[in-house]
Amino acid sequence: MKKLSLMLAVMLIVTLFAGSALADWTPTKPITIMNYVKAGGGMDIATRKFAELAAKYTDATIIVDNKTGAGGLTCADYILSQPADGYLVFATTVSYVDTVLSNEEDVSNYIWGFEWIDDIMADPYCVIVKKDSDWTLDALIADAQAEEQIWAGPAAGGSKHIAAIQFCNALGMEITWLPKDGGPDAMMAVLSDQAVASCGNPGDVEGRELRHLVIATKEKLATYPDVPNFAELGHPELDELSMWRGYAVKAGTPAEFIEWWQDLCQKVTEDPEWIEFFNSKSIVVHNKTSEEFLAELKGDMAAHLEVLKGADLVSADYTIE
Amino acid sequence: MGEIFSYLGAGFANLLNVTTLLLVLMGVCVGILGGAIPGISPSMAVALLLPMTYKMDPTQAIIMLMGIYIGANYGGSITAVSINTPGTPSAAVTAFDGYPMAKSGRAGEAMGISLWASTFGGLIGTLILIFFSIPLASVAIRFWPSEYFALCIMGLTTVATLGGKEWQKALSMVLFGLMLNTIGKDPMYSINRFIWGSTALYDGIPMVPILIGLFALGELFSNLEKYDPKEVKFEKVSYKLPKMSYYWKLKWSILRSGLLGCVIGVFPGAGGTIASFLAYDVEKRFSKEPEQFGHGAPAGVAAAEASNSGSVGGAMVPLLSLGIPGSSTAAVLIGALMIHNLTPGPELFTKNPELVYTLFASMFVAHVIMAAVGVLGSNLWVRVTSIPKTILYPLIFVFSILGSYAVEKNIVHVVFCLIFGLIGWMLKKYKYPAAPVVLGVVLGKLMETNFSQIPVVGKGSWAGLYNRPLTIVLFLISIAAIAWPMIQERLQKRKANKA
Amino acid sequence: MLKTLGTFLAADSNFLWTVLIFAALMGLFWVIYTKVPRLKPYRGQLLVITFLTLFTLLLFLCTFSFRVKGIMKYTTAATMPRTWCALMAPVIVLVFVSILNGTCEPDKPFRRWQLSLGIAALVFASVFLFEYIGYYLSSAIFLVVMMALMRERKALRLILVPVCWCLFTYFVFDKLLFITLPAGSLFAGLGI
Repeated sequence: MKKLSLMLAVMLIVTLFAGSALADWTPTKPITIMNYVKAGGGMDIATRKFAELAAKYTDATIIVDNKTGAGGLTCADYILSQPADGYLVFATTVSYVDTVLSNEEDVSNYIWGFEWIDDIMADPYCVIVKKDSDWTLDALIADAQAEEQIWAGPAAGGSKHIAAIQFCNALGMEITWLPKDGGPDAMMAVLSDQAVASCGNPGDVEGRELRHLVIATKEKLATYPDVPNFAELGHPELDELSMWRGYAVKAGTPAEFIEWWQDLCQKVTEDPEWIEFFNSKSIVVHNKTSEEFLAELKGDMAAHLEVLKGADLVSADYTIE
Repeated sequence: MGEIFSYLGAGFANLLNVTTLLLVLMGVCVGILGGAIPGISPSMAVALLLPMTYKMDPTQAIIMLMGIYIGANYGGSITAVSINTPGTPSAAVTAFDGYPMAKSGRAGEAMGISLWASTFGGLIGTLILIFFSIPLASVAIRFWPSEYFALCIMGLTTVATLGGKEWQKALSMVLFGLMLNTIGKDPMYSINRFIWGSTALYDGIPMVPILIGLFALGELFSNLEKYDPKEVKFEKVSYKLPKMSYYWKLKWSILRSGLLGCVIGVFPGAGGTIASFLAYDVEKRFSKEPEQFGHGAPAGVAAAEASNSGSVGGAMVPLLSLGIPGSSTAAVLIGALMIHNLTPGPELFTKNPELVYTLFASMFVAHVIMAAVGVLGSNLWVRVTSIPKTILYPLIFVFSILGSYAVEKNIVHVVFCLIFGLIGWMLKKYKYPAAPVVLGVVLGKLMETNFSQIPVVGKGSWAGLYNRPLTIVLFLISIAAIAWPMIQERLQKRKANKA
Repeated sequence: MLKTLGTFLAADSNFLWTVLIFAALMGLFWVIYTKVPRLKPYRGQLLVITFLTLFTLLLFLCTFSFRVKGIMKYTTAATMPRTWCALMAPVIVLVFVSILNGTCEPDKPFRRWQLSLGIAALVFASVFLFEYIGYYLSSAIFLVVMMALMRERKALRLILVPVCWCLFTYFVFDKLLFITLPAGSLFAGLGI
């Protein structure tokens, strides 16, 4: 009996302390943001800028690290093997989700093993052709309907391939995908006339003899005010597509951490320096948290799986239910 | 032309302050150290230090990273020569002759050659970058999958010079390397092949751990087998680096290899390793004593290092003239520029000529610094060969394991390194050459990707293989490379018969 | 037939079976090469090429398990592996011929193979321990044990080498290159 009461007392004290921690949570050790892209990649730059600006709003130390391999699965495996205490944040993107889908991986582990807490930015998709060519989107569509047309881009079944198929389906055209070893290599394929066009991000034309035909954004980019979006061409639904980037943590992470992190994201994404930095790189800055992010994720997963199955890139019996 | 010189002069003037010079020095030193550590490739060394430069001034950031790139390309040769542990994939070729030289007591000589060949090869690459980048870029843009495929075939012909007497075994080894490269996702359709569900193999078998295994651990296991604790042998080793006049006789090798390295470096995806193999092959063919190759030929070391360093300048050509990185290291440099809101490409010359020419100037300075650091460092490092085996062997083991772990922080890669160490031991024991395996592993993916893309860009036709002039030229060179030794042999026989 | 066999061998869950079959076949050939007096001097070389033959065969069979997707118009994921396998077949014959007709020198006998294998096992153990006791301790233990196996008798060396190595890796990897090495779950659990 004595033992029991002692135990009860201990439990009470622990609960009390935990309760007080809940009210005013602050990190007690450094937080690591883990990138699955290598140093210098898009999300890597974003997370490092994030860590730099976050220092304005919090005393917590934020470390940025990279664990590359298998399109993000290696990094995800690592995070899933660590404790769900919030001190390890997964810097993720829609490309990671597409890797999971196109590999027919188990979504209950690789997607729902995480809590998707914050979507901080979106890199719009666009159609890119050579600068000195006289393509217009209409001409491109007409050409693709008349004969085989080649588009270059990164891996088959990846985000940009999926987006290209979505564009083509809506525009009533068909293309052959020439998978290259990453974005720059795909741009090289367009420059060297191996492919007519590429599906990429607006920043891909920078410094190269290339130009955009159309950029998929609801509000036109300040960097390219003269390039039309799909709404102007009569396909507003295509402007909804984007390559979002955000944060996820291992499922089971304490709610107080998530709240704290979302608060930090809110502050950083409203910082003028943040907005200026990414807008100049033609990236749309926003802040979508739990509910909204989750809806976006689920919507993308369903749509992308349909595209992948339609193109016979994943087998018909793979499900994400 | 005059404009270039005046810009370049201004570039050098920009470098003339303590901070900038110190940054170049630091870059070169970190690069050499990183390159020397097995597993840290030049692109990794640059990527690892990249975050440090985020807060620097863009010019300073880029010249420091360039220093690392240059230093790391040379650093790989140090451990290749002294302990048969290539620090970078391209240094595997340096090990072919560098290590036999070191083993026969000519360590100083081998290290001296690799240092000066690197320096001059790199300078050749830099000069070509500055003066010929526009014509070279226009060739790069004509390269279609069929040309890349033909280039790979050309690379494969070098197996002829790696084989030696038991050429059948060499052939089987190059095919083994090519097969190993089919493990992992296929480059066209992302189908998983031969991985039995292991995510660690999605991206294919890890190249660096395999190299470390085959060369360093293979050699070590084989040495341990012969190890006798009672045997205390004091080999007479010459530590001294040779005098400058010694290198003069290698001038043509260095010049040829530097040029070749730079040209191959221009093509995105080809890179320094293929360049090293080709340059090694060319030098063996030019050599009066081809039988020396593989057993400690100075020209072999010079060829490997000069071409590898020359490829740095080459990789910068498409970066600056097309905005496309010529190598994986150059791709990291793009990230560095983007952070500072600079975009690599032709516009950089008009928008930021100062940065471009300061970068060019820094490449010259970095090579000079590298030579100085190298001379000091080699004099010390060469003594590694005199460390007692009881200390040296265990250290090489931990070094190799750490290196193969560091690449992706993945234990599976370490296991691969060990398995290939055992394979390397068996291959050495039974006289199957390991060098062709590397050739296969280096070329495999490039070959497969480009072969599969020929009919795609040809819209269903394989005609690219025979109706593109550049492809035909490359194929003809390959055929000549195989046929020439046979013709030569026949001619010699005829001569002998007459006499 | 080929497809069934290939699918069996390539299945994720059958990896162990595949390895076992492979090992059993290697063992069988080892026995054959040992029993035939003419082959015995070349046993090692023959086993290497047998390994390559089985490896080629395994890859070839596994290619039949690859899914053919709708976008594959000209080549499939199996094209290149099968090409290499096809090229390997004549080369294997050539190697066998060259060994059997005496072009190659006979094998050299093994000497202290126990030491090499023992150390290989030690490395495996040390790598396995990374995750538990951390990189530094694990590599220090490895260094001491391997030096002892190589009959190093000087105590000073046995102590200094592991210490210097740990300091070197800590400063170069952790501090200079920002590569954090595993600290080990054992210590993480203790909260150190």
